[in-house]
Amino acid sequence: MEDIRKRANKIRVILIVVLIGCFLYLGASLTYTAYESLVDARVKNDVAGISIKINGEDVIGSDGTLDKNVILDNTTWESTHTREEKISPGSSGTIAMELDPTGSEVAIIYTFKFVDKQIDEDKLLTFSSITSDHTFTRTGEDEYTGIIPISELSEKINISVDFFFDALTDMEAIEEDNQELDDLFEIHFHAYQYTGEEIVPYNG
Amino acid sequence: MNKAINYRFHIKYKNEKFRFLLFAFLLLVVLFLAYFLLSVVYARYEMAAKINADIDKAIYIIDAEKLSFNLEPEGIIPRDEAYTYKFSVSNFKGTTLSDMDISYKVKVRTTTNLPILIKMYRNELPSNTATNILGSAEAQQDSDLAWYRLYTSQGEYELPYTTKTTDIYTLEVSFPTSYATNPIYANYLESIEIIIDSKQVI
Repeated sequence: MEDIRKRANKIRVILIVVLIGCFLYLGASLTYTAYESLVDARVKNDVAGISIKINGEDVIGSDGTLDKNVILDNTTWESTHTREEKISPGSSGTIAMELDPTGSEVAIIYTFKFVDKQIDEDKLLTFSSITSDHTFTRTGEDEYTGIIPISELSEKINISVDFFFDALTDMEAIEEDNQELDDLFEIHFHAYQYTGEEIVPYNG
Repeated sequence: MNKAINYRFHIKYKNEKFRFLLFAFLLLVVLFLAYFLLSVVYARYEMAAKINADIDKAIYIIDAEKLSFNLEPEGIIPRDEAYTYKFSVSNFKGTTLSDMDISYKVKVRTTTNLPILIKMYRNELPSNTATNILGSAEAQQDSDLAWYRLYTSQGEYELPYTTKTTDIYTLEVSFPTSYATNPIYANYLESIEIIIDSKQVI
């Protein structure tokens, strides 16, 4: 009698171990075949869900690259004593962006992080303000967050970002403009599915 | 008796089997739930992009020739006629023109070995009517405790980005003949440095 009970327990333990093993294997293989890469506990979507275009350029690259580089060429600069469309210390300018979430299927939370001279002193330009027909919350020293609810997924968002070139910057003589675009500033755009999390304003 | 024992054992075995199957089923349900919950968290849509702007930085060209030289003892002797040296300052190099207005001052730094007199003329030849652009000398001492004389132009000059511009300067160095009788200067070397101190016009 005792033997039978021991045997039953043994079989139970073996079955549990086998079941857990099966599920772990199934879970792992499904995760990797379906999504290929996992970052920060979220799958970077390359199938559906969010579709955002910045100035008409799809943020999701055609090759599935997600950390894509969008280059904006519609900047307007005000510079005195400087050739048109060139910047020098004392110049200020505006970069216009159009965010188009058309085609998205879920509410979106997005952030702009400005990596400028205040954040990285090697950058040339300094961020001064962001304006839009959409509401932003400043959520960090250099970060602004916005939410696009499902009801507004068909509306385009116009954003203006103002930068300036500090007039006190020492400018060394240069014979050609051989700097990289990253030397000016970078904007890191990040968007993901909004699931109702609280947006905490920055109090710095 | 044996039959009764077998029957009880059979009942016990069935109960045990039922409990085991129930346990396995519940475990299955829990694992499925856990898996789907995890999937929902992991499948949260996300995208990221780096945004740059295509902006051209202005080119800042100031080209000055002949900026420092030495007056060798055998090259300069006291005489009535002044020695002249020419140099130019431009806002372009080859075909490339500066993208911004530039203003600059001219400074001349000399060692104090020889009792020379310095004058400088901008875009005109030395003459009695030409204007010496340099102010009076200012004594300076460097970190090696050596003394210098520093002359600075009294005005600031502009090079507009709209036009290729070259300013031609003539430096006039006089070593009066009154020092010819003093052999102490025969072995001295005088160093002259011309500094173009430029900045962007804002």
